[in-house]
Amino acid sequence: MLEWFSTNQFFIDITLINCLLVLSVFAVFQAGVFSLASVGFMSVGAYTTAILTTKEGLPMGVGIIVAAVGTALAGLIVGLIVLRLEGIYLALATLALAQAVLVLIETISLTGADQGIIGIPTVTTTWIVIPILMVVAAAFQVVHRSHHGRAIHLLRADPVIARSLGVRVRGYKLAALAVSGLLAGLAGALNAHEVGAISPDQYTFSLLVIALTYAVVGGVAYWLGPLVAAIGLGLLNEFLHGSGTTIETAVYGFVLIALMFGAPQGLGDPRLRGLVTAAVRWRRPRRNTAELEEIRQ
Amino acid sequence: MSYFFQQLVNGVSLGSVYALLALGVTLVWGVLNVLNFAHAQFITWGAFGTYLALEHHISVALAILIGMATGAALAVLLERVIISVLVRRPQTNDFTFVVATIGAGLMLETLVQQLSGSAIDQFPAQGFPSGSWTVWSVSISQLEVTVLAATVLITVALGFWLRYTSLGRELRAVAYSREIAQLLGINARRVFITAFVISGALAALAGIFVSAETVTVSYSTGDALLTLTFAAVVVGGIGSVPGAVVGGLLIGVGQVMLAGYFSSNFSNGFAYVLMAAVLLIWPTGLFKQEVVARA
Amino acid sequence: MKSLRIQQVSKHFQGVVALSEVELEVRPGEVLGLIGPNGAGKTTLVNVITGHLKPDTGTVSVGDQRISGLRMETIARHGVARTFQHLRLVDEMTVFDNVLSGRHLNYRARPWRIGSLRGEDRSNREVTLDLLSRLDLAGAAAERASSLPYGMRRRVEIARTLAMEPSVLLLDEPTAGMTAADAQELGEMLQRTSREGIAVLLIEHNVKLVTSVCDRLAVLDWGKLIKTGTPEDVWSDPAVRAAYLGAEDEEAPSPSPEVSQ
Repeated sequence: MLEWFSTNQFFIDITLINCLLVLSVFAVFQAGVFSLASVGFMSVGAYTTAILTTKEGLPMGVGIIVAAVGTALAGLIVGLIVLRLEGIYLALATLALAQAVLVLIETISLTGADQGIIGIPTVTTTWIVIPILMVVAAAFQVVHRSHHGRAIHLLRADPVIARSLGVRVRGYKLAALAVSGLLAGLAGALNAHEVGAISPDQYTFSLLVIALTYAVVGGVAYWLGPLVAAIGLGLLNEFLHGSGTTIETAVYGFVLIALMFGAPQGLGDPRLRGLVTAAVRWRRPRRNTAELEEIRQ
Repeated sequence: MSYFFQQLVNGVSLGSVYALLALGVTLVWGVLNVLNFAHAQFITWGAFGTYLALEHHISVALAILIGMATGAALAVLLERVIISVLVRRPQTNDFTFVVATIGAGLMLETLVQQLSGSAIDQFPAQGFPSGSWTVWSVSISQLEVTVLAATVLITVALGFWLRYTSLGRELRAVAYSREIAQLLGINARRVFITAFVISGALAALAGIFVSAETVTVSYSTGDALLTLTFAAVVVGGIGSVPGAVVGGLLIGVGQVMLAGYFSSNFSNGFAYVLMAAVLLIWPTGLFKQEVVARA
Repeated sequence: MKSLRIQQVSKHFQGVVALSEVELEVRPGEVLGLIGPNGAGKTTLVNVITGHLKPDTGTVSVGDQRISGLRMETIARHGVARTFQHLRLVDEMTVFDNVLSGRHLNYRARPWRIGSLRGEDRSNREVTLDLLSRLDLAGAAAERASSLPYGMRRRVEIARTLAMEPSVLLLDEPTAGMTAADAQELGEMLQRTSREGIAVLLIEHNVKLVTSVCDRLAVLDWGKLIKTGTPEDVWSDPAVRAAYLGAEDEEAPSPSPEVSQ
């Protein structure tokens, strides 16, 4: 067992890092924000830490932290610009901005243009990613159980109700974008330090589609869904690699279509819960009754 | 100065390919409120359709028609199997269609990739207009002229069709308001299929032209053009026929000019920056939305 | 205890006048019934008050605070709560959670003060439970909102608005689909609620209910307020009778002694 872990260390790290990217997509979808900018944030995070550690010789920790803070800020700025739009327009605007950033990266010499950056200090990031994921999961859980979590659910399901109850819709959406930026930036930075080299052509639309698929399969109601989907499907991917990578893309495509047939309301649809989430949610009403009894006494 | 004109000509030529693509996308979007992320597949499959026909020594003109028919057929398939089902449900929204069409695109691309063995094939462009004319020290390839001519013809024909035929007018009515159109007894389903047929055929034609110009065809032929098409549609204004053409030309010319005078990297970014700018500043694009109703 | 003041509010949609110089005050402790034929502009007025729409002219204030022109969520924070004509609940949430979401504004503790957070949550949940029993929904607390009959769903929505502890309560046809007995009970509950110092605006088509429950009535016709006054005054007004004689689905009652408070 342990041998499997050590021989597959790289793959495990990448899978865990992808979890962060998937959670970045989840973070915005959960708030009803149709943002497709996550891979763009990822590239910003990666290049930030790459430049800081190679050109400026700063330690890795600093690089990662600055990347995370930077992309969180970027998320906030994107939100301020883009949140006046809705639906497909919002999606296209975020896509366009992400693409524009990538083009910028490809052009300027600071980022090594289309050659990318090599010689990034590497480390097996497993023992960095796991604690980060745990903290992120805990944070999502705390929010989920709090009135903020209920407000976000409300805002996703029916923004009119949310606003009529005093929920600051714009604030939550901005926060969601900032968190999305943070998580994707972390994913990018950690990826850079895992692989040691980055180049603009790895931040593709296909990568976004994969992250989106995992997020949608996992469901946008509860963080555990996308996390499990990312790990589970990532593992499945690895084991199926022998049969060729193209089949899985077709399967993802089919799954996406099937999910959309089942949940036509899109982000706000209560059925977009995914398998794991549905199982978890079934238990919630009962928990409430227990609480009720507890309070009654 | 001649360099400028050379770039302009190249830009217009590229722009006309974008225009063909944008026309199809804008029609579907105007009529169905669907931004079809599987549009790239119409391009690829259409190009392959013509490729296979040419490989079987079918005449160029017929091969092009076969390619366009392939694109149109694929479009109708998408409409019948996926779009029409989702459209019937009142709560479907942007997200649903985007994700569903992304999914369809993935499946179709995988299929064509498997069928073509992931190979990049040489497109037999011998039958296409080749060679060039030199006008005032500007070299214009015959193929480029053909593409431009075709685009102009198609745009004008489309304009006439929308204005003067009953099906065309029905399409404009549905684009204006589906409810009112249905109250007037218009068969919306027929209109949807028509929009997709046109969309698929034009995309296929664009793919054929691109393959002829680059002399290659592969499963990824359509991919790079997808987001650029969306940019052209957004810039020109969704649902607007003249907008699609203007948007396409603007982006084509802009790209080539920037590549010629600055660097090719900037040229890629141009379309996206323009799209973002238009979305954030004039969301309706250069031409008003739903001009399909007034084209 | 704040009044809702609507001053010279006008609103038009592409040439169609929806509201015309509406002047109205709803005082704390009173239930004001807003009545009028269909399409008179009643829901539009509520939408203007809640910030869903901006008035073309005029102002709306709660107490001294002007709310017209503010965002919906800000207006809600100033104590304005509403129900919706077509009933809006989050179907997949439980009844309890639906009503609890009305307590959103009552979570004020700083994120790091875990003790206060817990305390707040506990008290908000108790308030929710209390409201549920007051509206006879306690038994259904753990049920999904979508599984309830229509009348109960209406009560859940009302419970949610009451959970906000508003200064101003706007109800848009809350008794639609209820039995006469339930409607009467709801009416009496609204009276009790208003006596606690809340200004209640009630849009209703149920003439009997509105006459027995409301302290005053305001009649809207084609966007204009044609009469405000006690139910007796209003029903005996010739302009009001004229406005209603056009409508087939209700009859304006005669001002008879059976009108009791």
